[in-house]
Amino acid sequence: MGRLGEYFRSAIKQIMHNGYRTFMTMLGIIIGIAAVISVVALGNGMTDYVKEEFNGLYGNFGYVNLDIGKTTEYFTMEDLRVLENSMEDIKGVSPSFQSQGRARGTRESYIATIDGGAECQLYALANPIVKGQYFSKQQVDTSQRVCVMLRTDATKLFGTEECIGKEVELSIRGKSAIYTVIGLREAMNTMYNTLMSTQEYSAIIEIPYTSCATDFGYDMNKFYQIIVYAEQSNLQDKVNEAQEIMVNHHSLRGENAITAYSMADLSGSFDELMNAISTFLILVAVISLVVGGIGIMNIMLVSVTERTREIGIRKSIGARTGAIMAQFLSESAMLTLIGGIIGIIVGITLAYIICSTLGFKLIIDPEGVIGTALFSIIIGLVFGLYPALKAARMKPIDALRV
Amino acid sequence: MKKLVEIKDVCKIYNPGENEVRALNHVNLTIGENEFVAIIGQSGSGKSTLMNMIGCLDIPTSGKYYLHGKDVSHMSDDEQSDIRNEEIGFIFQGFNLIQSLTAMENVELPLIYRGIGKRERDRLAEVALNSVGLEKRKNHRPNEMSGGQQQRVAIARAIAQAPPILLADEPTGNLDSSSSKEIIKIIKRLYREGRTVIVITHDSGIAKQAKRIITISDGEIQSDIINPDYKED
Repeated sequence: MGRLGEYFRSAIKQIMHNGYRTFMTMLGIIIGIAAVISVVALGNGMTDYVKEEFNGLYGNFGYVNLDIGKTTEYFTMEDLRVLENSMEDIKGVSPSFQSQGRARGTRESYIATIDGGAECQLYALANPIVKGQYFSKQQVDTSQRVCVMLRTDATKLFGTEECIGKEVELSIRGKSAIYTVIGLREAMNTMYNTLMSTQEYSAIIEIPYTSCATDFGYDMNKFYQIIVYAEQSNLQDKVNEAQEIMVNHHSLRGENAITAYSMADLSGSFDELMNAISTFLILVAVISLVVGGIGIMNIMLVSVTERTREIGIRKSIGARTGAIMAQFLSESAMLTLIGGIIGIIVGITLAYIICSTLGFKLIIDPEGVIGTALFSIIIGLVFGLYPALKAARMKPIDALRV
Repeated sequence: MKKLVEIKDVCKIYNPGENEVRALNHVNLTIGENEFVAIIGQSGSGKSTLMNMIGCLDIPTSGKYYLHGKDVSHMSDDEQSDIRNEEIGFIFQGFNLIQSLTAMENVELPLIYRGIGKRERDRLAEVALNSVGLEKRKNHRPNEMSGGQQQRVAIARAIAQAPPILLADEPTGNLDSSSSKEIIKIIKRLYREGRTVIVITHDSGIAKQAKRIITISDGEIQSDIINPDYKED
């Protein structure tokens, strides 16, 4: 170790001795590493941002659908009970009676999406309840005319968020009913508002599916879609399980009449897209690293030629082939390591600037950074190998004759 | 007297074939412990080839070379490196110091290759530099020193790991006369301290300082005499 320490010390000395040239040599590595670091950080930031907004938009749920073209079967209340009784670790199952309608408050009337669901529909959106509460199982079972809306809806309809207990008139396809506001959800996030900015303002009002069926003409014993609510981690499994149970329950094995789809599928394909983009960018960065490595090799070859005499001196006083190899290899590895460290700093700075400009979270993966530093050392070793071999194989008498 | 260098029937042939050059032609030479030998010859006489041979920088085409009784004529590169490190201290005409290193670091170099620890290395390098009177130049780089001082650093480097043989190739060739005198004086002292000193030169003035004078020309030893004019300083 002592000897290796000497080589590194002499490598540092040599590098410092040639400051300007060293820097120019390292530039390729610096740019390559900075590109890798900032691209990865940017990719992480972007993925995180889109995921966050995406998850903020919708809760964690999946659909089980009956294809009416393939079967005459339909879902009933019994199916809901079967699922609830046979599945564990789910937040609940619910039909989804969703329609466009109108909502009239004390102040104004707006078009509205009216969602009839069970109490577990609470998880359909990520927005938490900020006032009052969501409707309960008991309220669903007894068909109470209660509703939950967004706090922005409350301001539009009533001119105030202090509207718990106030009444709102809901109407769908000519049928109307009076509902009592019992809870407010947090407003939608920026992504939703951006997506909806060109549309006319639409309220989102959630009511128990039982009262929805009674008031607006849905049949609780004939519907074609069941929504399964579960944690993101097991959502996919639970949706598939629900599909399986329904296939068996309706004896539709092998007919592909019941399909399942979860929000996890969507985020999966999104991940795939992000991975593809990241892979491509990293490939580009790696190419620039290889180019940087060739630059290192070049300059090391020049260095070997320039220092032929030094090599001769060292050999004549007893340096073995391995010692000369180690000296030049530690020099090129040191060169790329320093380049790598500068590159990491530049890369993180760049990532910070870009991420904060775009509003992404700066995500630096420490393993990735260490990996990058190691990779830069490897580049130094690989591209330093040929020049080092060339140096080490010189015969001392030839080298001294220069 | 114990034999140190034993060259037996050594030939060195460059470009074997039609235009071959016999740099050494059946040379026999024995040098014992604690001798002071000058090898004198014109350029092209084969003296440099002989020096490379003695210094284990080259291997003979034929013949044997025993150093300390050990056959070193057919060694691998690394084995030769080890022999040079342990047995021979080189003093070159052009000093051959590494420009980016200080005097101290230059002197420590052979000790590094021998794997001696930092503290011991510092001590040995300091002793060597003191013995050539350069205690105040330890941290100077070669370009901050005169030719004479640089050659003294080179001598310190040659003696630092205490090799039995000092091999000096035109040690005063690049120096003015007063520096030359100083270097010769140091070399003589090193001999008196018990080392074997071999000086290769074309300058009879330098050769006359040695106790034994070997004349070489056309790759053959012409004469090998005890210098009648040798005097201790």
